[in-house]
Amino acid sequence: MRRVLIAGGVLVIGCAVIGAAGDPDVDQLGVLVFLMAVVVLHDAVFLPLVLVAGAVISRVVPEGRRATVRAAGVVCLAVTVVALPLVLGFGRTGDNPTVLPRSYPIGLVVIVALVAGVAVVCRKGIERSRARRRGRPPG
Amino acid sequence: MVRHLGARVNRVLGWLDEPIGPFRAGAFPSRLRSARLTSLLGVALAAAFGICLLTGVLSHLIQQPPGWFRWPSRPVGLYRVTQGVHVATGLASVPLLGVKLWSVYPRLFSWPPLRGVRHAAQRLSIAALVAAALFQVISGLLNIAHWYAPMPFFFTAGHYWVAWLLTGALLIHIGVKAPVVREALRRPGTPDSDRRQLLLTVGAAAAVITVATVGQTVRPLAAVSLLAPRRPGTGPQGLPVNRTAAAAGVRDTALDPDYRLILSGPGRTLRLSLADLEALPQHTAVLPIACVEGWSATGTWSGVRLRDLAGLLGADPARCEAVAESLQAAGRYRTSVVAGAHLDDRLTLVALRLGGEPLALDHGYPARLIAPNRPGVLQTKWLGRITVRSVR
Repeated sequence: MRRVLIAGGVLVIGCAVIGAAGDPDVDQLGVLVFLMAVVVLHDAVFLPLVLVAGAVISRVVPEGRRATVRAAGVVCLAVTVVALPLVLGFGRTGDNPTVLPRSYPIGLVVIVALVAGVAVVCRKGIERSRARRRGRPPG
Repeated sequence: MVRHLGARVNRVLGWLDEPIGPFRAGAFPSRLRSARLTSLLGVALAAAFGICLLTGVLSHLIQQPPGWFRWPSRPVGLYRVTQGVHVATGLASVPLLGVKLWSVYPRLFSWPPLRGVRHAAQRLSIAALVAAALFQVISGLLNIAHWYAPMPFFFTAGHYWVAWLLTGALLIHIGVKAPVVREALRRPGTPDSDRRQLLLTVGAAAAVITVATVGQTVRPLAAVSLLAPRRPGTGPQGLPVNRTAAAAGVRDTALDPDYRLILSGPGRTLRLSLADLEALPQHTAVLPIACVEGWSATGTWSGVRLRDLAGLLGADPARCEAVAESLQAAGRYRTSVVAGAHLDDRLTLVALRLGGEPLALDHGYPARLIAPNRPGVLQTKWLGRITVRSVR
């Protein structure tokens, strides 16, 4: 079964390469450049920055709140990645106001603020329930 | 001099012997990474990519149908749902892919970097997998934001072929890793609140992204989808536009008072003015414009049934297909083919009105095609000619 999967995968990749090479709509060099660029940007720039941010959180945030800050950070980061091309707004054209009709910077700020607010409320709730449990005698 | 160089070479070789920086053992201290976490994320990501592949290939088949492929005209909103799911799933996979790659990042720096041919082939297939996955997610994001400058290729074709590259690399990956995943998921996982919290976080991120964008096709959520690239209800006559009349270069021909829709069939050719079209029996259909970019919006269209026009030519709609041509001089989507099921459908219209008013110029004035269960790019605007031809 595993061999079938691997052989099938190699076959599909072969078809993809041959198909892309024979498709007049494909700029093969452009696709190759973009494939390599996204890996290099992700592995050599984006992820190291994320790891640095994680290390800063470990250093700056008190231990009890670290998990909450990290979780809120992951959610906000993922939303920001999705929002970035919209916030930059290079896709807007003068003659078509129906493309990117919203104010995306404001939308992103609102979502980040909501995520932070929910994180604070959840943290408070967890702390309170823990305190209550500790206050109660066991049994 | 020679000795100096020798010392330098020795130092470099020393580096190669001894892992440095991220290659050191313990360079990545997080205890959250585990085979179980990676396996769970991997299974979820494979499912998400599977959904994207199916819905994406479906759209490709509908737009460039091979001989064996038949696409029905009902249910009316099926295409809209598949493409809404395609984009929503792709967007929700952003946090999945991000955390999955984070969880295996230390393996990029495994030491020694290569241990023979087998290991090299495996690493190459992983490189292809990671590159293709990032390519698909990022190019998709850029496409729904209409930001084409960073992509040095034609998006549609690149996204299509790299989808197959991703599929192949993913099959290899599943084949290679199946025992590891099975082992990691079989053992009852040590109860680990940190891992549970990270998985919950990924789920929360996917949920926030979905709510923030899916309003581009799920209308009740339009108000809260702050990051939706389109907004149903926004645009001329309440509908978004992909290609404007100005961009298509049809302003003058579309507004020409001498406009005629040329209808040609096997035996005869008719030239119908807008008044001629309005004098024919008018019908109304409530149909969505559904874009491959994941947005959709419903309109109330009225005009002449395409099958009635085929009847004027003496053609049997069930045994024919129609080629709709736009007034556009050029462009990838200048023409579209309306095959049997759609040509014979009573909801397929040459629409003259939207919401009771004459079509806005950007929606295809004086006449456009609108059919159920079809991609927006095939709903040809600014119709100039319709050719009905029989098929075997």
